[in-house]
Amino acid sequence: MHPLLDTLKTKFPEAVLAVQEDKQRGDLSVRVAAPRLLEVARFLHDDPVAAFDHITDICSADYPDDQERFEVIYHFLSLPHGIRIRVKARVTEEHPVVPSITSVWKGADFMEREVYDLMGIKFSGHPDLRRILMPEDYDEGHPLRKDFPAEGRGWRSRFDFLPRLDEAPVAETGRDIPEAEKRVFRTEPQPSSSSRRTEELLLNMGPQHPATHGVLRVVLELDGERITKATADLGYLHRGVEKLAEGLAYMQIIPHTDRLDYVCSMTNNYAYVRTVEKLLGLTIPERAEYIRTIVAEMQRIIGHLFWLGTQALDIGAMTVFFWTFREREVLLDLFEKLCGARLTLNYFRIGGVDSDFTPDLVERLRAFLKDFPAHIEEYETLLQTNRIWVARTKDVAVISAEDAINFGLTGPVLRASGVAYDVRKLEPYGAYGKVDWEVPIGKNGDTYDRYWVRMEELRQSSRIIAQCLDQLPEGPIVADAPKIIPPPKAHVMRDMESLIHHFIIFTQGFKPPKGETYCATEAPKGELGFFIISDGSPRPYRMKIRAPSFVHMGAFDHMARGYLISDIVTIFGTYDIVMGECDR
Amino acid sequence: MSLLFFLYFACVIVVTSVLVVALRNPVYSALALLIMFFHVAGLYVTLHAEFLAAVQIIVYAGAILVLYLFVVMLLNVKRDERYHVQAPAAAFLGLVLFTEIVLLAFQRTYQTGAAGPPEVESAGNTETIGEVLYSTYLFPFEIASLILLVAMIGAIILAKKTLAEPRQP
Amino acid sequence: MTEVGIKLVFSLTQIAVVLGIVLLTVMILTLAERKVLGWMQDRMGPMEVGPYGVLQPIADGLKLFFKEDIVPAGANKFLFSLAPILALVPALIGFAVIPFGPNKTIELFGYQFQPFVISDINIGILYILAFTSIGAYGIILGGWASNSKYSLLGGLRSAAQVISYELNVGLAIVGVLLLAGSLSLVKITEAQAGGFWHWYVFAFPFPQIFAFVVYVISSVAETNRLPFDLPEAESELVAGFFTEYSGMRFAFFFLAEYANMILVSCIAAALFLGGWNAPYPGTLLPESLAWVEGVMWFTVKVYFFLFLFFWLRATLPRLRYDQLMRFGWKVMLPIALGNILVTSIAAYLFPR
Repeated sequence: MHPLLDTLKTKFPEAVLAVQEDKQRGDLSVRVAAPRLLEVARFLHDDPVAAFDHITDICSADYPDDQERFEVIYHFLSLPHGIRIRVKARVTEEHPVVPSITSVWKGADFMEREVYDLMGIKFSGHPDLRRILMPEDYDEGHPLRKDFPAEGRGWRSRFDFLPRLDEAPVAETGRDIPEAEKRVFRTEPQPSSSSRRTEELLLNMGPQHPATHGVLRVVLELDGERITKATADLGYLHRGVEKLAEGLAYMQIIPHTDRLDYVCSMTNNYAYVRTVEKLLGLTIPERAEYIRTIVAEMQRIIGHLFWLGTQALDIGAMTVFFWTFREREVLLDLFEKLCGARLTLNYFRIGGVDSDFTPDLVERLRAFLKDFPAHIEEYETLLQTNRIWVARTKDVAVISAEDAINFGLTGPVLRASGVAYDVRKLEPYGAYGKVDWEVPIGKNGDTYDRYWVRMEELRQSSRIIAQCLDQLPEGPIVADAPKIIPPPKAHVMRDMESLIHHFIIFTQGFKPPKGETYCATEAPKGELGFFIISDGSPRPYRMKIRAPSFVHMGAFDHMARGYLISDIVTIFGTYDIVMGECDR
Repeated sequence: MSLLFFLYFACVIVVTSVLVVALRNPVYSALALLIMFFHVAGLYVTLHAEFLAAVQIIVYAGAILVLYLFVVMLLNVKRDERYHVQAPAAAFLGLVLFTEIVLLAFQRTYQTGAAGPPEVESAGNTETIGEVLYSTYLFPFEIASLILLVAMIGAIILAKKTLAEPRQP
Repeated sequence: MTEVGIKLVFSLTQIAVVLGIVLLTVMILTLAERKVLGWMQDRMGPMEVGPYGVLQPIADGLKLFFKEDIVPAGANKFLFSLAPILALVPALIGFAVIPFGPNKTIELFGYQFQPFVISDINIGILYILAFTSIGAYGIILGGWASNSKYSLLGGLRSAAQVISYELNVGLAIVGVLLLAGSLSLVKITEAQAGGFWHWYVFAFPFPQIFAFVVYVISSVAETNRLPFDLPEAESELVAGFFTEYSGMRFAFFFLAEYANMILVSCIAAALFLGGWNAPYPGTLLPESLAWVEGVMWFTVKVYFFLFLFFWLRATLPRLRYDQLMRFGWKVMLPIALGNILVTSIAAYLFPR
């Protein structure tokens, strides 16, 4: 038994109800009594033996047949020790209340709001428990519960915000918004230090706005030019992917993951496919690992180029936008050659990848890599030492390392604050352990550092791809597991066994063993993780997507306070948020 | 010819001045004031004081009135629906002014045509003003600049708030 | 009476020609900007309409002309329509005093007139400064009349930026005025005749290079161009004070911006780079055609400045508003004042 689990059992004999160590998948999980959750959480955070300073995810699951129907599942990560732990607590339907852990981890704020919104579990002590993904006044229930239907109930005709074509439009000008509605967006009134009465302005940005990356609504409370509070209103792109997944077979979910972070969609595929393979305990062939690594790094380059172009465009340097998209075009053409699509690629399969690299593709990729460092230099001449760029990005949206860890930030945002956490180094997967590369770490945690970290990551990605191309072994690109992976079509038409497997896989789907697992992948935006609970059926019982953009939005208010309104676009850009994965 | 211009400018000035106080929308009043400034500048031009005309537009119309507009817009001054009637004070002042004008009209004879100050065409308006301003009227000039400096400092101190420091890393 | 009539006809013709050329240049500029920006960004710019896209401005003009006239609900219709006019007219009025060619006087129908400058008043540059300060009204009223928080904020900020940098423009010009001894643009350009070492940017007793730099940067700020275009940036507050404008009204603001650009380029060429004077003394062409050379050199200089505007837009990011104001008041203003000080001492020690 893992020493940590023993410590927990001895320290909290009544609180800790059960511990489990899944040696095959490398997961530790602890079941805790709900009322005592806060003490256990605090112990896990503060005690140096445990030191779980980074909060990864909070999600929920619904077991309607059990007496204690709802389960809240917490994932924590200990950066000093490099271990993860899963803490679970169950509550009943009559009293679905769990103590909130926002006092320990600030990042729990948005995560607990999502659990409340989608499952209906209340968190006592939460500073602002409101719906987050669904509209504020949504009273149809909590969508992720098992008794909430996956198909619609014909509500559309009753939605009052949809214009009816048979009625005259409502003339609504200069309507005064009642103060009660505004209170959510204001900071608490300070005991006023000055005798002057200042009226703060509430400015609404979005959901349609050229600078917010996607449909994001932010209500800013301004004091003159300074932002005193930034409240994000998420959910405009919520498509219910998690609920959809409960009705689809594992293989059918892959295209849905494409639509999460649509800028670099293969990364989402990779994260999902790895989780399912972890659940199944499947090993995949060498060549597939190398290919996966290569395309993942190509996606990283694409994602960072997109980020660079849009951030530069928002700050005013239009030329960089066009240059980065020129490079992106080359890569998108390569992807088209590889799998036929440019945006939603749907390339990964459970057990491998869909199609193989051709020698022509390898040649073109090598040619791209030869020119790419010169292009990075080109972007840097325009930006790196440009005094206006430096003035716009230095000391803007600063977040300290402790705050970043406490909020659960990951990816370049975290690394720019000086924290050396990269999933590819902590839990190496693919071919990352076999090639030579470094993780760039920033210092100040400001926008300039995040810019610098991502530029350096572009260089490191080129390095990784070049080495992988050199080391690329021959072999199959899909694992050989006939009960899980459909056999090649050529065999299906000739071989009875293949036909049977094909038939079963495509009508029923393969049945993974019962269990649950969490798997993290380093997406360009941060740590993208999938948590899947399997009940032995061909469809996942619960799939939770740990989206880095969602967690970053939780820290948005903290990061934006005190800066000028002109910095808002810089702050949006530096977070590199994509609403597809934020809202799911 | 010049009489025609003078009459045009004078009429417009009178009409727009009345509009400034009579219009209810403060932004319209400000625009009427702008038109008035232009026509005052026009009057200056007929008096061969073109430097003064240009400065009138630059300073008065282009800076001071802009700041008036800032204030009106920032304070969101709405239309004033009431018509302020202050009959007693208005009657008294009106009587006084009317008496003055009548006395003035009957004491002097009008001069048609722009007689004006002695022509200093050779030096040009700008040079003349410059020479006179910096020699004879130097002291009032410096006092005026000092008063403006005091006003600027006062405004900055009044408006300055102790802002929270932008967060440091 | 006929004298007045004939002079009026002369002036009206001149005005028509100048306005025609200016508006044509504005149209060309819309295309030129997109092409130049495109080439700098590794793409071609408009290519569809006409060979290599040269008919694009006509297509743009037609489109803007036929667009639906939308006035936002609750907006003040009078001010909403007035604002673009107040933005465009001052920009065009300034062209009345700029000398496009040598200061000749020709005799037509018995009356003298100067073909290359519409009106040579003796307060030339002051007249231009006066009317550019009116341009701020268009911006303020545009922001206000749109009845939208965004536009109002954008309009007020833009107006504050314009009046701050107006000051720097005025002060930068004073150095040149000291050396030239006159406010009239015609006299200033004449004083720079003889070769590029007489141009005020290089001239003895004190080359106005600092004033030139201050002037160019301040005029970029005056015209609300990148890197000083925060109030109207596309991604900031959704185009600021002209968010709510569409169709012909938007076209007017657009024209006003380009006309302003051309005006400040003409002034920069006239004040600092010698106007219509060639960089070499004398003329290459025979005497009767010397004006062609003058006009051509003037055009080259103006287009050089316009290219500079485009280049700046392609390369630099945007300055944040507080950085912009700080730069104007704390950096540009002291440099301009210092320049005046040194120039006046130099002019005193080495009188013309």
